[in-house]
Amino acid sequence: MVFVLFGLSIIVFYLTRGLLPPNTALAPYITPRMDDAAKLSLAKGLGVATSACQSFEDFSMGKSYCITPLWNQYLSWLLTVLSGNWGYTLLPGISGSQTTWDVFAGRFPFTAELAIAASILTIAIGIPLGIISATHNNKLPDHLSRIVSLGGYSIPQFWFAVMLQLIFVIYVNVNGQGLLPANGALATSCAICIPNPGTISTFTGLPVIDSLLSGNISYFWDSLIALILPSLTLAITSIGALTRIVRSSMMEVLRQDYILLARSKGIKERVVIYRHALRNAILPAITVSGLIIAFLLGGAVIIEIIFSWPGVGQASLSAAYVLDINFLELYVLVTALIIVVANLVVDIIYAKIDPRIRY
Amino acid sequence: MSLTQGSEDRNRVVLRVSNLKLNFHTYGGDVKVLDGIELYVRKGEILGLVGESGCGKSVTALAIAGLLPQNAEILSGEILLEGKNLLAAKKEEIRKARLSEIAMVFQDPMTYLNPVIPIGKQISEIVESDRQLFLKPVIEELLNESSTSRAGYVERKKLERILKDGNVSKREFGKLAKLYAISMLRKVRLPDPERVYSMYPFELSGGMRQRAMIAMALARKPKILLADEITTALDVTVQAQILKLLRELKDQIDASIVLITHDLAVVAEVCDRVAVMYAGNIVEVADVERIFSNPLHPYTKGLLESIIRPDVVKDELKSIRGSVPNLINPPPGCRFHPRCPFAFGRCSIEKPNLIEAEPNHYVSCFLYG
Amino acid sequence: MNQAQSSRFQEARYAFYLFRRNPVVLAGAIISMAALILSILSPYIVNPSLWRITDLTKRLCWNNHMINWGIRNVFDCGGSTYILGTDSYGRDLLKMIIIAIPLDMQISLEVVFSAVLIGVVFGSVAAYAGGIIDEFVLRITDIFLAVPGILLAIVMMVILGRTIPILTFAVLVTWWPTYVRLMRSQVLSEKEKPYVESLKAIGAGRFRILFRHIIPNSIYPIIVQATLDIGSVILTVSALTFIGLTPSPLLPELGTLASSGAQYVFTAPWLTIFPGLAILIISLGFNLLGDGIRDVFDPRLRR
Repeated sequence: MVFVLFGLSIIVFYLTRGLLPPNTALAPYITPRMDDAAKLSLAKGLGVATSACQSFEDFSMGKSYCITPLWNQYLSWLLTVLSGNWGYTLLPGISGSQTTWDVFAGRFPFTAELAIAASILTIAIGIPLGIISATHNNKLPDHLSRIVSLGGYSIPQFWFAVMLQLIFVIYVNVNGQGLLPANGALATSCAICIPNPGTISTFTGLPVIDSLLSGNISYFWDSLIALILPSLTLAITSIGALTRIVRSSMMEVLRQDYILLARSKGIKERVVIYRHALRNAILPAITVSGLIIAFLLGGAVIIEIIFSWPGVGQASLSAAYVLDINFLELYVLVTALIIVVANLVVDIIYAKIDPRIRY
Repeated sequence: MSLTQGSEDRNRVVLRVSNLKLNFHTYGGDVKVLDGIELYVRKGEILGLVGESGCGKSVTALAIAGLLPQNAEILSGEILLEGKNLLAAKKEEIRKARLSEIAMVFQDPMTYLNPVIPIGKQISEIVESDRQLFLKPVIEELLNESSTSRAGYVERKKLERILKDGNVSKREFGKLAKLYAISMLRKVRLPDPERVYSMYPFELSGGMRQRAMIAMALARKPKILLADEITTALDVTVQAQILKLLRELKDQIDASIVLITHDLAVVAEVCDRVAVMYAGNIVEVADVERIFSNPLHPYTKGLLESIIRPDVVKDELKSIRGSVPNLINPPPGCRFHPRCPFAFGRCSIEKPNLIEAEPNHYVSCFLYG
Repeated sequence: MNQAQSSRFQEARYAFYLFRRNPVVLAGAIISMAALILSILSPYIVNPSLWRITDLTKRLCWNNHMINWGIRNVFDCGGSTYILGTDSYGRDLLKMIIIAIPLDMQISLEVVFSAVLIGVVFGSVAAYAGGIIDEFVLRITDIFLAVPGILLAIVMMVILGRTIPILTFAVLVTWWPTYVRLMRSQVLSEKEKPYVESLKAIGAGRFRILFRHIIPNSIYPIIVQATLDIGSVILTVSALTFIGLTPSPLLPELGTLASSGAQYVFTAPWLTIFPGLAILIISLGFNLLGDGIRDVFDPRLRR
C-alpha cells in the first residue's frame, strides 16, 4: 500500500519535475515581491538548486552545476510536501495568496459528493439489473437490461452529458425554463429549483449533507437537483459494467449445485436468489469495486468540466494547463490514496462475505 | 401399465410414477431421457433405483421433486404423491410439496452446500420460511428434547404456551429454529452440534457434510426422501455409517426412501425393493432378495455378473457387451436389444411392457411374455 | 485424429448455433466489421486532406430537410445538401466523420495491440517464473491501477505535448496493467492443470510448455477483453480530445469534432450529436462482439 503511493509519487514527480524546466518546481512557492536573490535562496531551500549556484539566471536556464540531481530533488520535495507545504495555488481566477492545500480541500468535497452519488446510483441500478438479467436469461427483461448495460458501457460519457443537457435543459421545459439545471453544484434557475435557498454552514463540505445538518431544506433540494444529471452521467458506464459482471456471475452461480439444493428445500425462489445466489454472485462485483471507484474518480474530471462542477477534477485540467504541478501531484496522490484504501475495504468486505478467505 | 393393476397393497403406496416420458432439448437434438417410467414407493420402505450413469435415475428423482432443468420437456405421465398429481400442480404447490413432503439429498456434499452460509442457517431457514407450517413440529421436537435435559424445565412452560397460542413472533421463532436446527444436527450424530451450527461447509469433512445435508432433509419430516448417490463420494467406512443413519432416521420419521445408486452392494445392504433402470426405462422391479437370487431381465443378469465377489472365483470378469446407447437416437423397440444376448426379432420392433412375471416381481422383457 | 476433427466440427457447429440464436451478437459482428472496412476504404470515399479546407461562409449550416431540429434561425446555406450539416469551420460533417473513423480506429487498435502484447509477455513470464519477478511485475501494475487512467493521461499530454503518438502512448500507459493481471491469473490457473504435469513428465521443455501449450490455452479471455477494449479505448481517447487535449481543433477525430460542436450545442446540436453517435455505434459494436465471443467460447456458460 505504502509502496504503491511511493511508486506513484516517483512517477508523477518524474513527469512533472524531470521533464519540465526547473522554474516550474519553484512557481508554487514564489510570492509577488520576490527578487531574483530571494528566488535563488528559495530554490536552494527547496533543494532544487545546488548551494554552488551563483545566480537565479543560471538556475532558470537549467545550467547543470545549478540543478541538484533528480533523486535529491525528490527527497527534499517529499520532505516539503509531507510537512504539509504544498505552496500557493497557480490556478487562474483564484487569488494567488491561497494555498494549494486550501484550494484542494475546498473543492474536494464537491468531487466526493459527485463520486459518492454516482457510486450509489451504480449499486442501486447495476446490481438489480444484473440479477433481473440473469434470472430471465434470454427473455425480454434480459434483452432490455443487456441493451441498457451494453449501451451504458459503450456510450461516450461526454456525449451522454451533452445529450442530457440538450433534452432536460432545452427540449423539456416548463414555462420557458428547462426542467433541470445545465451546470453548477447548486441549482437555482430551473423549472423545479428553488430560486433563493439561502446559505448553510459547513460541517462536512458536502452540500447535500451540510444543508440537511443546517436544516435548510431548500438548499438541500437545490443541491440534490443539481446532482442528478452529473451523477447519472458519471455513473452510466459503471452501471453498464456492474450489470454485466453481476449478470454473468449470477448466471454462473445459478447453475451451481447448491442452488439446486436450496431449491430442493422448498424455500421461496426469492430467498434462493437473494440469500443463496446473490451472496456468491456478488463476490466478483465486490472485487471490481476498487476499479469502479478509480473509474468514477477519473471520469469525474470530464463530467466536472462539462457540468461546471466546482470540484477538483475541473480544476485539475486548468492546473495541467498552467503547470500547477503541486495541485496535480496532490490530486493524483489523494486519489490514489482513496483507491488504495477502497481496495483495502474491499478486501475486508470480501472476507466478511466469503468465509473461505478468512482462514 | 400392469404395475397399476399389480398385487401391491394400494393403501400403502405413497408415491406412484406412471408412464413418465421426458426429453431434454439440446443443440444436438432432443435427448429422450425417460421413456415411460413406471414406479411406486410403499410407505416406510427403501426402494433402490439402480442403473448405469446416464440411465435417467437422477432425472427421475429431479422430476419427482419438480426440479428439472429449463430445457426439460415432459411429454406424458403422472407423478402421484398420495393421490395428488404433481405434474399437474402449480409451481407454488410443488414448492410447498418440497418444503414438507419430498426431500432430496444429493451426491456431492461439497458442491451442494452453499459455501458462504453457515451450516446451521441452511437448516433453520427451512423451518423459518413457513412459520405456520413448522410451528407445531418444531415445538414438539424441542419439548421432546427438553424433557431429557435438566435446564429444559423453564423453557417447557414457554414452549407449551407458544404451542397453545399457535402464534409466535418472527424473532422468537428464529431462536426456536436455531435450537431446532441444532437438534437436527444432533440427530444426524454430528459431534458438538452447537459449534457445527455456525461452521461453514468448507470446515467440515465429507461425511459430516453429508450428515448436514441429511439433517436438512430430516428437518422437514418428509414423506419421501430421494437420496441421489449419497454415498458415492464418501469413504467406505463413512458410507456404512451414513446408510445406517439413513435407515434409523427413516424409521423415526416414518418416511419412505428412494435410494438412487449404481452400487449393488449398497442396494443389498439397505434396500427393501429394487428397481433396475436402463436407458430411460425401468426394466425390472422386485424385492431385493429376488433380484439377487433370481434376476429375470438380461440386463439385470449382466449387471449382477459384472460384480466382483470374493466368494465366487471367476476366470474372467464378465461385462455387458456394447455400450450405453445415444439417447438422441435411441434403438427402436426394447432399448437394450442391441446389447442383449437373447434378443430376437420382436425386440427391435416393439417395446416390452412391465409385466408381473411372478408375484411382486416385474420385468419388461419379451422372454417372459 | 478423426475424433479431434469431429469435435472441432462440433465446436464450430455449436458456435454457429449460438451466434444464430443471438441476433444481438450478430449485429455486433456486423457493426465491428463495418467499422473496420470503413476505416480501410475511407481514403477512397472521401479525400483525406479535405479537413484542411474551411469555408466560414458555410459554417453551422443545416439544409437537410429530413430532420427539423425545432430550433429557430437554423442557417440554411443552400447549394448541395449536407446530410449531417456542416461544422463550425464550414466543413461537411458527414465527410469529416468518415475521415475521422480511421484515425480513432487506428489509435484504438494500436493501444489494444500493444497492451495485449505487453500483457501476454509480462503476465505469462511473471506467472510462470513466480518469485521475485512475479512480485515485482505485480507491484508495478498495482501502482498504475491505483491512479485513474484519464488523470495520468492528462498530465502526460500536457507535459509531453499534444500529439497523436503521445495521446496513444498516454492511453497505453494506463491500459497495459489490466492485461498483465489478466494474463498472469490465466497462466497461474493454467499451469496447475494436470496436462502441464503430464507434459513435464514426458520431458517437454519449459519454454515449449509455456509457448506451445499454456499461452495458447490462456489467450481466449485476453481476446475477449481486447475486443471489448477496442470500444473502451475509443471512448477514452475521444473523452481526452473532447476536453481539449487534441493536437488541433481542426483535427478530424470524433472527440475533437464533438468538442468543437459542444459550444454550439443549443444552436447547432448536430455538431455534437453525430460524432458522438458514431463513437457510440462503433464502441457498441465491439462490445456486443466481445460479449458474444465470450458467450460462445466460455465453456462455463454452455448448456
